[in-house]
Amino acid sequence: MTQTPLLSLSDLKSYYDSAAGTIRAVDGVSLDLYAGEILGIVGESGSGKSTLSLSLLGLLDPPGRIAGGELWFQGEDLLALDESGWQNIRGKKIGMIFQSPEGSFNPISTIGQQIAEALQAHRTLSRREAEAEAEMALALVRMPQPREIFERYPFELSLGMCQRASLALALSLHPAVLIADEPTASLDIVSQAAMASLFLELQATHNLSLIIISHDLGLVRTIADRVVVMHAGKIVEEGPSDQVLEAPRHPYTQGLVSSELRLDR
Amino acid sequence: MAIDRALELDISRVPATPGAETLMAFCRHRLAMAGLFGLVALTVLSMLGPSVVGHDPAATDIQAIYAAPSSSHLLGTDQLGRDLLARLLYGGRVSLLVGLMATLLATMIGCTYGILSGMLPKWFEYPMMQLLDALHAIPVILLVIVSDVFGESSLMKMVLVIGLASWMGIARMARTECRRLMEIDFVKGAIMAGASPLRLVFRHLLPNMFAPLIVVITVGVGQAILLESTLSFLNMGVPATVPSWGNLLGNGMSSVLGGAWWIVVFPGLMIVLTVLSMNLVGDGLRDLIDPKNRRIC
Amino acid sequence: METAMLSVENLTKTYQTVGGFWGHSRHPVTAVHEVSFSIRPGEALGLIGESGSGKSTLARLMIGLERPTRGRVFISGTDIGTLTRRTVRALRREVQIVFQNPYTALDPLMTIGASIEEPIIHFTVSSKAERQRQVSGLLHDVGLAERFSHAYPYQLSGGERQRACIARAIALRPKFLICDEVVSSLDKSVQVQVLDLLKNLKQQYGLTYLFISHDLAVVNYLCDRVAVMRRGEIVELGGRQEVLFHPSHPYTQALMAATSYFLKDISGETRRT
Repeated sequence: MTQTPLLSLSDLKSYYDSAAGTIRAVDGVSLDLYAGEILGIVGESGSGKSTLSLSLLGLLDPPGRIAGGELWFQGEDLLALDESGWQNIRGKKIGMIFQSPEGSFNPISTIGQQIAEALQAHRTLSRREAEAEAEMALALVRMPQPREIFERYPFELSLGMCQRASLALALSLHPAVLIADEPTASLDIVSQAAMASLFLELQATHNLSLIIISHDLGLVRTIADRVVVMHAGKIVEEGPSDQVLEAPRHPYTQGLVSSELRLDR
Repeated sequence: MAIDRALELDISRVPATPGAETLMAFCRHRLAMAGLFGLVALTVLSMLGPSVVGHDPAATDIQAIYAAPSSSHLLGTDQLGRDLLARLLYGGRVSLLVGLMATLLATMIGCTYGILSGMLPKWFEYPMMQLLDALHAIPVILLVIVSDVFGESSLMKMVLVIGLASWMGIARMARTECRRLMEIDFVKGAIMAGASPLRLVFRHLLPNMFAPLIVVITVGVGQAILLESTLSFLNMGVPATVPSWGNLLGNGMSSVLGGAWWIVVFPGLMIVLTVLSMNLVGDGLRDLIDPKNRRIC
Repeated sequence: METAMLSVENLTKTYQTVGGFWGHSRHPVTAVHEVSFSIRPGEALGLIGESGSGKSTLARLMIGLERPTRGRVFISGTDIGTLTRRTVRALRREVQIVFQNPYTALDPLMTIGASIEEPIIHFTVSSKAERQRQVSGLLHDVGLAERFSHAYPYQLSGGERQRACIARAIALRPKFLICDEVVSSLDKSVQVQVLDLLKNLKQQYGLTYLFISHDLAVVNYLCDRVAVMRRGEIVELGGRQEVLFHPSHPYTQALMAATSYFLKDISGETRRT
């Protein structure tokens, strides 16, 4: 592939220092994300995948630290950034959504207001323009009645709806890359399927570039183009997701896949 | 999150041995040991106090009124030429006793009330909390004045009054914690395992609410000592003839203007030392009770 | 006809929500509405529903942790509503529950051994040595090494904690075990291990299960019959094959469609069952 990657990690190391010794949560991970691609990062809890996502967002707090490697985004060396530099990247150029959607919203303000405020914080927009864009963002994530959702408080939405609203919040700033850490883990199965098909739709219509971190093989198999399998801080296998998750070569991945509960087996 | 996870994976491979490590951990907790040392030292000095210093706390010395700290009077003297160090140590008996006993009383009342209102059916809880709010609104001074009806001011009465005036915060904290814990699965699990209400309280609820409570309690000791000081200062506390840190502070107020700073500074310092020591011991106990901290600190 | 291990008749639970400044606006929320079914001895009944569908309330009603607004619960033919405080205690020997979140289901300040020992202390008269022997037997049965007895919950992984919770639940040799979303907070790779353990225990101890889950694949793996719950009501109940693979209620059909969305063929097409 001659195309330059959007986001590129090489030999990234994130360590935690503790009295019991150094814990190598991410231990030399290299991967590239290309525009319009959905990349899945699969692993069990403790495999280092969440630490990796924190590192990508510059959110790794002490005692964690980046111990080595490189992290490039659109030709910019992210590891050289200070906190104010990160604030220009995080949210604006690299968006994120997390497992629990309630955490993305302030419970005492409406969904629409919060998206509009986020927009106004990053760009010079009048209140009316910001509100119009917020409503567009809600429509983008296929909210059935964007105008109505706009006026709702977070507690008035179901978890599935709330997660979709947090996706709208993340996408409203048009980030180049979206990082989703277990975005469906707290949702019911119907919302999970809806969320997955939404990701696929956004990839097709808006060329969404997504890193999806999950322990759910079914989700990753369904939406990711490529997948990396993490174990003990290292990548043990990577490749096209159909290939890796249907006919894995590494014994660890084979173990993961064979222990998956599936209705068709 | 991630660090927790990483740590627990690491440590879970080390077999744990119960029992003796608890004591070991406390001894290794340097700050807690310092706090404990401070409390013991303060107590011992107050007990032996006057005989060690070689001055009678009540003995006046016309020759040495407002004497600054010197080799004969280490911390100086007051307006009647009484040795401040002797009075300070003697006063410690009153202040420590009142501070610790009153807080102990407040803790017992507060925990009982709080846990009861947390465990009883909901319709009990509402009136119990309303009553608590009402009690909280009564000024301490009023309580003291009313208590005057029941006879001369004495140490015992002081402990009772301060204890009765300060248990409400502990009760509120205990209730909140109790309600929180009752919703957690392991408490329901204990009920399913047939635990009696008493066992539930002593084995599961109290240990798990210790961490937040100890903060309130240690602060309470300081407040009790200060409250005693305030009351003594207003002549409502222990008889003015008995030196307590509060009395000393109160008497000293006018002297500061004359330049005799030591009369106020040293009693104040003692109160600060006591509260600090209590806090350190409290922190140590809190860490001790949490198995996570036993091996790390 | 043999007596049902457990049955519920027209079970209803209504909560009063209190709102408004003076606590004056009260309106009832029905968590469980007119639910009836029965479970035969040795059977595993799966109860499917999403969060908020009332399945956890149903579980708490069935083990007597809460009292129903209406309706009755029978365990081995006894109406538990008629039991006194003392006889409810006896019920605990027969019916136990394993909770969803293994991170909150064990007292963080107690060793695993002490937690497992707790029901044995309360219900049997036995010496310390005898109890210890029982605890190590239980740890062995759930596949945990004996040294876990001295470990604290925070030192265990989620799967290991859930095993410890199961050991504690079966300590009194109950006949009936309610599993409330026991694997949903575990990694998918650990889920199968815990489900296999439950399968083995069912054989070994002759247990009857009510298995609550939102995951169709999990229920499919373990259960003989399946009930589907929505908004406090049971909308479909029948054999596993029939309910999961030939659902008749639209809600079950939607669940099944969503589940099969994630079952992609190697060719990349979504498979329909």
